Amino acid sequence: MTDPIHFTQAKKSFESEISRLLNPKNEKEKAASNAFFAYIKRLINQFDLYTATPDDIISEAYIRAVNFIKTREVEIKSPEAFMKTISVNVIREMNRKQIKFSSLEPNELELKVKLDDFSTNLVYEDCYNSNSNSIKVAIQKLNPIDRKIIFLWKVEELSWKEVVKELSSSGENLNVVSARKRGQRALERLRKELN
Amino acid sequence: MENIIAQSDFLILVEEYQALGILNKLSDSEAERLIEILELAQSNSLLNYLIQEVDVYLANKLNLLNSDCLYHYENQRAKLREYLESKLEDKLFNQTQLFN
Repeated sequence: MTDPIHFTQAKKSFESEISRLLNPKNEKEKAASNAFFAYIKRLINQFDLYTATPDDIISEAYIRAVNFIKTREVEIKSPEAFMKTISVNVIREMNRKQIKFSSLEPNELELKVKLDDFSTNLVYEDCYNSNSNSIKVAIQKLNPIDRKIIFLWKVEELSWKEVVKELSSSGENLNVVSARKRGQRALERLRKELN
Repeated sequence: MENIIAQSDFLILVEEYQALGILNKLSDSEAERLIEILELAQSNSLLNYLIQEVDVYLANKLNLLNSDCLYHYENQRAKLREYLESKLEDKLFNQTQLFN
């Protein structure tokens, strides 16, 4: 049975270290944080995980780390090294799902998205032409707001606060929670369409 | 207790980590080896420090610290803070002091 006091202390200690990576307070911490994100990005590139961004990986790794602390009742001596280790496994699993998800060889499929007009100007390259149109069709099936949300979130990689700000400047008033839920549902629909 | 690694092995491990980091793709066995080195680093502070230095070197070499990348990392940090705060709202976590 988990000792709640020990778990709380171990989790607090872990979070105190990780908070420096996610919320750096000075230039030194910022440099370390950027190096950590660059490490994740490097791994993403090595595994050709074109559907993921570092925050996808880090959020999943963080949740697993906390669950690990809870179940094993251990204090993590080097939280950053621990997160780096978990991140490799997260990326490998996502890569396997990506391979299953796409009928094409992932190492040979490259999707390039034109940034200025996500809805009508999708540019892509791949070595197996027969299935590539499905990406464009799937995106065009989304309603315009959902397309814009996905573009701002996944392509421009804005935070949800910035996504909401961009949407409101074009007359769409959503709060952060609604925009996030809508974006996640749209991404699910897109993935289902492609599958 | 620190994981004791022979002095001669440090250099080998760091070189190996760097060699893995520079590859275009990682095979399963290479990924496993990367994990092994990182697990050693978890319990050896010197190795951990050297690996952090290699990561900075690789990030510069692979152009992952240019201004565009730094801009994106800043956005992703903000997204992560929002996401993890929403986890608090969902009561998935309790007693977190993450962003205080």
